[in-house]
Amino acid sequence: MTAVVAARSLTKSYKGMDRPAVDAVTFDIGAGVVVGLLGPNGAGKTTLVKLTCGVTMPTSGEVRVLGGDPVADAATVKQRVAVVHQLMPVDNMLSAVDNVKIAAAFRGLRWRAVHPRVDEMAATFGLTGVMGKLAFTLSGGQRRRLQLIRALLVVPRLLMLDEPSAGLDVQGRRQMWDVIGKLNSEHGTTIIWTSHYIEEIERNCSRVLVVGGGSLIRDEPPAVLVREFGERTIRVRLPEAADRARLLALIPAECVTASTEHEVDIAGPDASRHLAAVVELVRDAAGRGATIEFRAPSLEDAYVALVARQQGLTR
Amino acid sequence: MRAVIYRELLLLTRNRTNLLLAILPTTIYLLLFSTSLNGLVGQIRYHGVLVGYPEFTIPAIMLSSMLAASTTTGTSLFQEETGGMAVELWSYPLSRPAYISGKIIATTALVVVQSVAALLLGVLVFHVGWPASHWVALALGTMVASLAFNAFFLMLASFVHDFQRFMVLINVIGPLLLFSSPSFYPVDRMPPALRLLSVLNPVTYGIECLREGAIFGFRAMWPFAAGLAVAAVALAALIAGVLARRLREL
Repeated sequence: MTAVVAARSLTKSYKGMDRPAVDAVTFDIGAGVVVGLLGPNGAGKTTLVKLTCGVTMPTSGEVRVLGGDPVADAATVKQRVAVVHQLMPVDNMLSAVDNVKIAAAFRGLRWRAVHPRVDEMAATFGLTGVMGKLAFTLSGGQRRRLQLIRALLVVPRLLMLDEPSAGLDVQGRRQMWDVIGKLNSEHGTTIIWTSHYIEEIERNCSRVLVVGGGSLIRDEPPAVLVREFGERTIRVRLPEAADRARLLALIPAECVTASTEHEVDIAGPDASRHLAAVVELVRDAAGRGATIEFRAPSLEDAYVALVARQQGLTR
Repeated sequence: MRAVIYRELLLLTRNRTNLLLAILPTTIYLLLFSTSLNGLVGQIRYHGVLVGYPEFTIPAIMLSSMLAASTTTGTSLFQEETGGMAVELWSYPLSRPAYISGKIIATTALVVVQSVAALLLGVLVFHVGWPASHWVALALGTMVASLAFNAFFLMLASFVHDFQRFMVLINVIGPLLLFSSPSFYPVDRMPPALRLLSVLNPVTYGIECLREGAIFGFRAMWPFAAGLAVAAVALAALIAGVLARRLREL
């Protein structure tokens, strides 16, 4: 079966930059998959999105989207692709509804045909009352929702979301998750999703591409990354300063991953060797409010560890 | 291409400030020229014929309006890039040649509309009596000149990468081009240095094109119109190349 997105040695260099923004990246994404694209700022996520949606062309290598070249076959390929860009671009001096009308015109859709769908989505995202307002008067969250409406005028085969949660409140994020989830489950839309909210990726994506320095570092399901890079954390709560001092004297400094006024986080390969002593100390201090909690690793923990390791290697 | 034109139209018409800024300077010019300056100058000898000052100046006022509208389209290129709209537009299913030609056609159409609005305003305040064939020639000249000057400012916007530099450039060269051409005075009344400059000034040929069309008709106008059309095509090809290169850096 043809991959929805197939990148082969995909490279993009910009003038005046000392290294490629995207460097020889190769991957395949099949139909109906929700893929998270993670990486630190400047890792190449947005450039990868722009290459995949045909906004910019590769310096070398190639990317095929739905079997076509998104630049050379733009008119065919992009008809089935929708993107929510990171920068929230809108025509500020036009109303929200005019912005949507323009998007419809660029997609060759008749306004009369898409109007009911726009009204429905505006109601879902709580924008009904502001569709007639000038775009620059909308809040960041409203502009983000407007972008989603604009992108979902048609049911796309591929939807790319470049940090779609930036600017959205908790309710807005959940509404978006619902809409995206339905799109994927009911229509089989393939989704590429970049975010700095790692829990969002862990919750919604079945596969994660991690990029760093323009290269693809890992391509795994979230559970595999968590298993490989995540560490269980022991969180000890010790309200008394003297008890905390005893604990810190008991365990090596490299096992302490965080220390606040009342809590100490312990992790690392050697942490389990000190577990018995820590439990004993907590039992002894239980009368003074001491507690112990074992935290399972999250994708965020695994991601932080993976990026730290990668940055250590590149240094 | 229709979508590009639709967007440009909405951007112009929905923004009342832009619309007002497009019309207001031309209206003030026209009122000024139809009252005090017309009374002061009366008639002017142009290519051996005595013409009323209004007939002489309407083409220049139209061209001034054309220059103002063309700088706006140049500015819009920067706004699209800095605000991220260029990235958004390129995500839609459109081909590069269609976008670039659509952009040139749409912005030219808007420049034509603004120039024709200036002409209509001029006719209202001046009451000129040109024969029908001269009106046709003037309309044709307006289209060709709009294409050429819009392409000229789009070309400047495509070559200059810094928005501040572009704004300084257009604020300096706009008045310079207009006043170093035989816009509101005949070329033989201009100082020798400016007369020399007017030969190199593209606005001279734009004004001559409109003026010849309005006063003498198509036969007198066509060499200027043909020259402007050739320049417009050459500039459009140049812009297409530069924009395509610039898009690669998005």
